[in-house]
Amino acid sequence: MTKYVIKRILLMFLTLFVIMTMCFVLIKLLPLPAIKQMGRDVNLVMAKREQMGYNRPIMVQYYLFLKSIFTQWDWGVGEQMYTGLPVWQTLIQKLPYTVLVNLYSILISIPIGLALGIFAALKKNKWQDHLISTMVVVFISVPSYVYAFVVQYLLCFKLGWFPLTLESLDNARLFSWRMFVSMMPAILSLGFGVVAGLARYTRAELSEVLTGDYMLLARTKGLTRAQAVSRHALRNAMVVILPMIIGEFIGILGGSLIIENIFMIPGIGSLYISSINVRDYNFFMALTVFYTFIGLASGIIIDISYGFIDPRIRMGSKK
Amino acid sequence: MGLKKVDEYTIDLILAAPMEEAAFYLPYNLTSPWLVYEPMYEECKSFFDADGKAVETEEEAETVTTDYCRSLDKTVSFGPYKMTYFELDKQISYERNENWYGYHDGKHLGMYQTDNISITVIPEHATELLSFLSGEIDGVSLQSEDMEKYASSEYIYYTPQSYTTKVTFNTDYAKLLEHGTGSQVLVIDEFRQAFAYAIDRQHFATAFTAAGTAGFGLLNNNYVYNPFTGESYRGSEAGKKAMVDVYGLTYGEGGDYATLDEAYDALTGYDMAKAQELMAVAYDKAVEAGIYDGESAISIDFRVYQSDTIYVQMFTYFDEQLQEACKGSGFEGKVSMTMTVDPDYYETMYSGNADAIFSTWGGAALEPFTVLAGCYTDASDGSGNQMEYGYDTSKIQLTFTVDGEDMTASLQDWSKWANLEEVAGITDKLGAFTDYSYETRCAFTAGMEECFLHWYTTTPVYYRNVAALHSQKINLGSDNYVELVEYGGLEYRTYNYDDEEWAAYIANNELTY
Repeated sequence: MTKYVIKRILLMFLTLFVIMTMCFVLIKLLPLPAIKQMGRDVNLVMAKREQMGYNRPIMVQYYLFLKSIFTQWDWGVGEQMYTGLPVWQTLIQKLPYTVLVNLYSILISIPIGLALGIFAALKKNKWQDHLISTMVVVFISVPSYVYAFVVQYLLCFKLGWFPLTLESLDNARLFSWRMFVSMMPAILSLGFGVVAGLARYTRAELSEVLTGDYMLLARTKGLTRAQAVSRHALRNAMVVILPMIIGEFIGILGGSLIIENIFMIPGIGSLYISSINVRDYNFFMALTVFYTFIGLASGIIIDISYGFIDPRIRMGSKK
Repeated sequence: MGLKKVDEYTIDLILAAPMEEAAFYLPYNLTSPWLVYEPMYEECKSFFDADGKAVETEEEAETVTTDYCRSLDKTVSFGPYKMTYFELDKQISYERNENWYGYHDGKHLGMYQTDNISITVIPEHATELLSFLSGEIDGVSLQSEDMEKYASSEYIYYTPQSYTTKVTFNTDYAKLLEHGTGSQVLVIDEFRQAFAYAIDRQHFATAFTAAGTAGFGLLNNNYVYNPFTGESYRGSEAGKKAMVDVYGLTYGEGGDYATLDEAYDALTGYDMAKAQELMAVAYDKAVEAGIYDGESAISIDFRVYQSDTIYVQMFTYFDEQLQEACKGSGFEGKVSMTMTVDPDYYETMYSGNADAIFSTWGGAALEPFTVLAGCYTDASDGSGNQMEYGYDTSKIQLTFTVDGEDMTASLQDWSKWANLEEVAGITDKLGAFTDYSYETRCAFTAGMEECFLHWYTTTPVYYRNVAALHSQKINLGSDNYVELVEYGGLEYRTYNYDDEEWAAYIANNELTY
């Protein structure tokens, strides 16, 4: 298993390098956009361009790019967005908001989604199952930004349960209760879809598992239904569900542009799309590497997690 | 030219030429001076050599930059308020700067009653409006869809802007031909003129903007030609005449209207029948000149910044009106516009790769005479500010009668002369532009504007105004818009509630506007 993990990590870095190289070369083939702003920002950007060898061959530029990352962790400065500001520092400044909102959303949604899915599976084909399934279909079908507007209008504006927008760090610390409360509208908006998806998969997997022979044996042995479900059925069902949970978290790390705009969350949701639209290659490269790394790392985590849930699935172990 | 330090509290500004308006402009512009705290400014400097490598000293450097005022810890405030918080894309906060001299000099009594200022970034308009209606923020700009509900509110106020939004065309034949969509017909003057007459500007401004008004000229009602009297350029006789002439209205004996004022007041710029006549002429010309084969489909590529609803609506209107104008001509059924989302659409036009774009110029509302040279006539190849690609104003001849004598020069040269540049053939004969009275300078500018618009390379559509609501918590310094002072700004703002009273008020009352 250890050898397998090490091998996967090394492969991950190799894949990351290949993707990074491809993106870098392809970007450099595009025309370089002019710097629009005047004054010292332009001077800084032009100086940085000289330093990174923008007028030299692509592979020389790539060497300088890698050198500045490995020696100084310098990903360049913003050229079209946040002109003159260091790319990495800007990313790090914005990332916590996106991570926190999505983390809270997942943490709240998982128990609710699992509970609904388990309940629906146990009450299969009864009215409780039909009700939950209908809700699931509705929540999956309706886009999250529709919930966002409904949550904002009803819960924030009309009922005043939550603030309309995220608090700033001037008014509340990042991990404070006040900040959490101000994140709730966004958390709820993001969470409905996760709850629905999780409930659906849990119900489907658990329903199938509950019909297994070993479940009958477990009941025959004298286990109560709850014991049989929790000790045997759920664990088997989690082989599919746990990777999905991890995948959900990774997926929503990309941030929701619309949710962040609606609730004034200064996260990274819009950064990637904006960097492509305005052709800010430094931000684009940094974000590409970031998301690629996250995606590849999540693949390893998901693969390893199989082994913990189901000992029969041990990656890299001898038969 | 530069600045010269006289002592710790005095700076001499040295101008390139005597300027009568200096007595007015300088105090006005120096309300936003460029003072820095020298020790920190020097500390924030970075130096780079010609290869972009960081170096230690300014002497070794090719490029010097500074990140002074790029973050809170590198900002030193010196006005009535000081920055206390900055969060990128989120919020800026200020509090009263008790060290400001104005609080102690006895000249600002009753002013600056605000203690704290918080500026929050709210990208989504719906959120902004809800925040305002719940009392969290004290002002909100309105969009066109809000006007139905709030246009008659007692809390609404309008701020004229100096910006005119126009549709600007590319008229470079070679570049248009390269596009391969038949858009080279744009080089035909009557085609563009037909488009200009096909736009109902009043309808456009009402339907698609919150507070815009129909726009006819490059310079809108905000421009003042005499800063000492505040007389409006657009409202001057010369300014009105230019518009009436451009849009083909006649007045006086034998004219459609009795007086210039009547003609100007009747101006709409919209005449679909005329647009259709012109389009028929444009078709014949295009075919005769071999520009158009008479049969192929023509697509005009219209670039916009983004594809949100309002841009789509505006574009759809232009397309519909263009097609309506083509009815009855050989172009009927063959011409259409396509909308392309291009965040760099200005750059695309500067490189000649767009057929048409929205263009907006404004600013320098107290200095209308330099706008043409600054924005409209400097370079037809996209190397300057001029967006009308292919429209070479150095080849457009314009004649003025000065002291009974006709003088002809290019439109570009006239605009340079108005921009206080020395122009051979004009300066040596007429002297400096500033030698003339404001009324005469106004007349020159109007003549240049009329000449520029005569070729319809750009079609003004609407003048920008901003409609906004202010909170019940605050009173504006003035109920009416006042040139330069606007509504009194932060200086004259007063409050009906303090923060605690306001919190109690909104907790127990529903705010209605």
